[in-house]
Formats: sequence, C-alpha cells, structure tokens
Amino acid sequence: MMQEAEYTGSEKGLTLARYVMGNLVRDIQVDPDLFQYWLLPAAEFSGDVVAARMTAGQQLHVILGDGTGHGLATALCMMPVSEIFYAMTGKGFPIGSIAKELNKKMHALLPRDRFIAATLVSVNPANRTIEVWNGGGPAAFFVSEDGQYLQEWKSNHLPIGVLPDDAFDEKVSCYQWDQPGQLFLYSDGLIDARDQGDAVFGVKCVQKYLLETKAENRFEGLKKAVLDHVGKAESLDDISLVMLNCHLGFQHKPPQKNEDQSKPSKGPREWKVALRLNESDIKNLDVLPILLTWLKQADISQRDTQRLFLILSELYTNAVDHGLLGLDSSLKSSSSGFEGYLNLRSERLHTLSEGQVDITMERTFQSEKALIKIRIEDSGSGFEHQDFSIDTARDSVKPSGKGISLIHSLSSDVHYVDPGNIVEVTYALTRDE
Amino acid sequence: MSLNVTVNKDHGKLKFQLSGRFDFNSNKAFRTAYESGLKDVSTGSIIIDLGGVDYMDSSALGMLLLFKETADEQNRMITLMNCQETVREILDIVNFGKLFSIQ
Repeated sequence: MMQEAEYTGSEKGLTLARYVMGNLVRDIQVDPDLFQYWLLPAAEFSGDVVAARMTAGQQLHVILGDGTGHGLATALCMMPVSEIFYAMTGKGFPIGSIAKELNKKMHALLPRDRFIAATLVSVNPANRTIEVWNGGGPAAFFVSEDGQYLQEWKSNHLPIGVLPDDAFDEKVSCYQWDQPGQLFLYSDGLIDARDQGDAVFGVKCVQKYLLETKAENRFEGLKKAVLDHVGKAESLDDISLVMLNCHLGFQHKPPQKNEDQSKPSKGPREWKVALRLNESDIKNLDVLPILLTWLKQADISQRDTQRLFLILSELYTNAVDHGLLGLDSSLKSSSSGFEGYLNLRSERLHTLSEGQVDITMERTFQSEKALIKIRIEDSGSGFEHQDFSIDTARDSVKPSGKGISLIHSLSSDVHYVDPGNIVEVTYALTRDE
Repeated sequence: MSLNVTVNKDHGKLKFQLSGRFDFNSNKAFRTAYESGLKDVSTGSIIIDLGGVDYMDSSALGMLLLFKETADEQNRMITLMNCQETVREILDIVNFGKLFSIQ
C-alpha cells in the first residue's frame, strides 16, 4: 500500500510538473524568416532553454542556455531563465545586462556545483550588427549565404551562476556583417550526439555540413543529419539548435495596427518628464529601459512606444558618442571598421571625467493632436548641423547617418539648436484620441 | 572505466591523482577523496593531476567548483595539471582558467 501511495504521489507530481513547465514554454513569436530553432530533450523535460523576442527597438534577442545535467531536476533549475530573459528584453535592457542579472539570480538560486552554459545574441538588422555574450557555450558562428565561414564567437566568459555578481563580466563581442548570412548556435548535446557505435557527431561535421549546403536547406538539413547520425541510439543529453537569418537591407517593419490603437490612452493627458545624467550615470546606467518603462506606465500604445524607443535610442547614442565622446561616424567605415569604432567608444567612455546629458519628454497637444516632444541636450560643444544634409544621409550606403534618417522618417519635426548640442524632435502619436 | 583517485603529499602540497572517466558517477569517489585529503592540515596548496582522465562532463566541472569552494575557505590554491587535449578543451570552453591555475 505504502509503495502504491508513493507511486501515485509521484505520478501527481509529474502531472503538476508537466502542467507548470508546459505553461512556461511560450510560443516564440518571432518571424520564422528571421529565426528558427530545434529542441530535442533527452528525457521528458528539457534542461536546454531557447527563448527569442524582438525588442521595442526592433532588435532580435535570443538566448540558448544549457543547464548542468538533464531531466526534471535540471529543467527545474532552468525555470527562471526564460522568465528573466523575456522580462528584461521587454523592458529594453541590452543582452550584457540581461546576462548579468541572470548570473546574479542563478548564483543565488543554484547549488555551487550547478551552472548554466549560455549564449545570448542580439541582432540589429537596421545597422547590420550582432552582439554576442557567450559563457561556456560551444562557439557560435556566422556563415555567409554563399557558404563562407566569416566569424565565430568562442566562449570567453564563465557560465551563468558560477561567479558572484561583483566579479561578473558583461562585455559582449560585436560584429557587423557586410554580406547576408546565418548565425548558428547549439548546445554541446548536438556535437556530442552519439551513434550506436558511440561515435560523436562532432563540431567539424557541423561546420562542414553548413559550408557545403545551400543557405535555405542548412537548418532542416543539419537537423536531419544529426537525427540520422543518432539513429536508434539512446540520447544522453538535450540537443538544441538555433539559426538566425541576418539579411542585408532588412527594413524596419512597423507592427500591425493593434487593438490598443483604438482604445483611448488611460495615461495622463499631459505630462513632462526630465532625466539628468552625469558621467557616472552615462557609464553605468541602462538609460533606455527607464524611458521605456515610463512610456508603458503612461499607456502610450505599443506601436508608438516602439517608434519612440527607436528615436530615443538613436538620439541618446548620438548625444553620448558624438557630443560627449567626440567620435566620428566615418570611423565605422574606416579600415578598423565597426569594431574599431566600438573599442574606441568603450575606451573614451571609460576615461570620460565630465559630461552631462539632459533628456526631456513631454506629452502635449497641438490643434487637438497629441504629440510627444523630445529634447536631448549634451554638454559637448555641438556640431555644424547646417552642413548636415538628410538627403545625403538617407542615400548613403555607409554605416553612418542611417540613424538620423530613420528619425526623420518617423518624426514630424527634427531640428538642432545652435551650437548643435541640443536636438528637438516632435513625434505625432498615432493612437486615436 | 570509473574514476580512480589517489591522494598523496608532494613537497608539502596535497596532490590528487585522477584517472578514468570523470563524470556524474564519480561524485562519491571524488568527494570522499578530497574531504579526507583536506583533513591533512600539514599540506598547503592543492594539485589535481588530470593526466589519466580521458573524459569529463559538466557534473565533473561542478565537483571541481564544490572542491574549490571548500579549498577557498582554507585559503588553499588549486592547480589543475597534465590535462589531456579533450579535457583541456572542456576547461577552456567554460573558462575555468579564470578560477583555477591550469598547467
């Protein structure tokens, strides 16, 4: 009797576990043209986690995490990972900050001998950039559509959950693609997948396959190659595979008109918020999530929030990079390229001893039309904005000037105030009033 | 082959010689060995000779982390030695060089 009672208890426990885990696995609502994934658990519950979401700034955030071990116990340890990832992506945090927060939470939650090998990726199709944070995962790599191995990101951090927060390194590696391609991520279960003779699939086999296969067949083909290799052998570890399509000339697609467009805003009718940032804030603070949180609190519609987020992130980056750090965008197209630009940026930011950025956002009305007015002032010396032709920037194929033309296309008015350290943008809210 | 651990003293250092498969099945063998080894307070820093280890999984990495925690409490340094290529690759992927001295 006792045994039977215990058995029933454990069956109930499993049913409960299935129910909760089932609710945790959310639909990944990312255009399959941009992102595909495959997850094959070794047991009923997966110790690998894959999550993906577009940010308000139209970047694609992806995480692939692999917890020590497999099965229910590991799946349990992994439960907070996708929750934290989705919550922070929704709030507009960059992947380095998400990795840091995950590490802090998991370091507190997990026993000392458990950790999570994880790779986080952010793809920004608008400026063709990729950011990667890899802690303990197999190397991620970028293969061009015509089959060249162009970039790889080896693990350069300890896995999530090993280090205490103050020792954690959130630095990401950056890459700018100049020809379209695909970024691949996988868990070690994929390369360690064994056939009946105990031979592993191996990383060389993965690379060889991808380089020799047409771009459109790579994902499904690799999946099939792994399954064929394993055959009837028992799988020992969870297998996961992720592919991100990185296109040239990807255009920002505004989201479809949502139902929230027709509902009047429940937020305050008129408001004004101001944020003053000193050099220490500029170095250490994620500013955009603060602004995004306010827009959400003020019940600005999703579509307007996304556009405002793009405008704000572009203006803020310009104020810091050009206003305070004196970086010239033409550096991005120089020989050291985008990476050289970012290295110089982080160097100058580190040594910045004085600087201030004032951000003001205001909801106001003009002829009954609801507007958001944004004003950003930096303590730099400004620039010759009269010489700055928007037409040139828009037609340019260079990686600079794209941002400001995007702002023009989304806003009803953009102007600089002499000597060029102040920019004022007016955005017409699209929601019906 | 399961994990075989021998403990001895080498020039005042505490030395663990490991051979075989270092995986989730080695938990007890490894733990028993280091717990008894650490009782010898006449020894200082610790050497883990992985020369005979031909396979290592993530539970083994976890055991090393646990061991390090205990050793840290006693202010003892851990050096990992003689890693075979496959083992070295695994240690490199998880960047354990930032936690242990690897020779």
